[in-house]
Amino acid sequence: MRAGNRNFQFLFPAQTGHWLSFLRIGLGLQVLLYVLSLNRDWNLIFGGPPQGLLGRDVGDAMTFVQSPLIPRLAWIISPLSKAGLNESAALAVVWWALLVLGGLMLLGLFCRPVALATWFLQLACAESGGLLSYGADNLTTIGLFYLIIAPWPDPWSLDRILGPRPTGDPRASGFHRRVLQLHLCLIYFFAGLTKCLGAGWWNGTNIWRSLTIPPFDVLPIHWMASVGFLLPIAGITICLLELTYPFLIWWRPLRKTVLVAICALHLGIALIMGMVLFGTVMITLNLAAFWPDRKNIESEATLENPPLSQHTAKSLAAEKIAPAGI
Amino acid sequence: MTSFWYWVRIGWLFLHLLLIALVCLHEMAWLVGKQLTTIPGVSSRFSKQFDNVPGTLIGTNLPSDDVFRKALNTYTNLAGIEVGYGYFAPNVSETHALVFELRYPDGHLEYEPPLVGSHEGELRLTSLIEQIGRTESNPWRNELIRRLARSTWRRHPQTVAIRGFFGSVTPPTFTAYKSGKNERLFVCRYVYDFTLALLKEGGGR
Repeated sequence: MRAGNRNFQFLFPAQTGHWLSFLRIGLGLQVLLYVLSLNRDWNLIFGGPPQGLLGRDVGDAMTFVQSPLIPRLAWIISPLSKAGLNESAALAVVWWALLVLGGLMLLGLFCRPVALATWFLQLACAESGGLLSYGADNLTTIGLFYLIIAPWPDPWSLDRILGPRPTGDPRASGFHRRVLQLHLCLIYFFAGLTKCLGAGWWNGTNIWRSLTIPPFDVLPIHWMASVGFLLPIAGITICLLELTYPFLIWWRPLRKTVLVAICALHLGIALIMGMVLFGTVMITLNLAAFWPDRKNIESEATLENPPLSQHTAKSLAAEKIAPAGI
Repeated sequence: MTSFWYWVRIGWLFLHLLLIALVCLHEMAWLVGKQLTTIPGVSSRFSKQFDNVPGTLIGTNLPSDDVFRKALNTYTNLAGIEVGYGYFAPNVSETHALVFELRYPDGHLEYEPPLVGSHEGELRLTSLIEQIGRTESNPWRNELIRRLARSTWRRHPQTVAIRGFFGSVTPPTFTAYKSGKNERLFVCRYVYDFTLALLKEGGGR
């Protein structure tokens, strides 16, 4: 029974929902960055065979083979074409729609419908982009997927401020944050483990290569050479940081240190390798998942080990006290 | 929270995390099988055995039109968890490059890689070129390069023929750079000749 209570406490901690505000604002910024950074190449990346670099039909076909139920841009562009819009105009509609949705997400207006529409459009772009998509797109989809199933509204959203709606169930909010936390742990564990299996991460070769091959060679190569002695140290540090993240992040005295270190790593990737979208989405996910919420820690202490039969009562109590700051 | 929704959430959490772990293990088994890791003397047979459980559970051993496989593909794509997280791992291997030689009616030649207009576009183009470099299917590689040649031809419609050079690029190692060798080594692996008709209709040699 005690083990059951502990599991319940772990999986359903009462949360104020500020983490969800963090996630929403971060992903809103991410979507805005995504459309603005691809503005000049939008038609080239998502255009069909006449105007695209590769042709959207490649990504669409690859997606269709996996499953016909996965959203792709053809679902949006075909009806718009039937309505009389040419492909460029239809792609412009998608671009503007994502821009507006990103802005609404940033403000927290119509949270769930906006999250759903943004997820759908971003996923359609990522799938139709096919071979022109990369890790940042997947991680953005992950973040948006958690947003659409999250208990809305979050405390900092305009939906919450303007309307009389209470914030979502604190225990449901805590559960969704826990899912994101566990997902991040799996991401870093496998990323770290795979890196540890490559010799180049232990002798600095991979760091050197990562930072000197185009288009990641943002820093001049002679700068990199001048700090060559640091390359093996940097490689080993990255391996160990990623591999131990799933364990150390749960240890409260080290949580902030690990969080700052991993965010610094992603900031470095964004600035030194020019992978801004990848860096911002990882920092957003990390801060949303693990930024210490003082109110939450206190609530966990207050609600320690409630009997299983009192879950509902505790949820209601937590819901009442959480918005007030406990 | 009612007991029903409590158990629904627990069940979903378990399946969701299990799928993430299985996809990652499947990717890792592939890397081990291709002998891209430092694990010594691992045969492809062993890696197939290692991949037996994750591969089976995520349906990669099933026919591509299997309903269970399609359902899993749908969910993993919708959740963004269809691929693993081995970025720049286990090693940062040689990179690839594609350059087109443009032939004009007066016989003069120009050289140009596929072009995009932004750094973000460049990151995506790099991802594409690397995937072309990794593919083991010649027809697939031909088709992708033909499409990139066609895109280049649209920017230079007065060209009469395009030749594509695809190969690997090895940057200088740290030691080589320190000893004054700064050049990147391009090794051409494939050459493709495209005429206007081929670009329009498909093909290339």
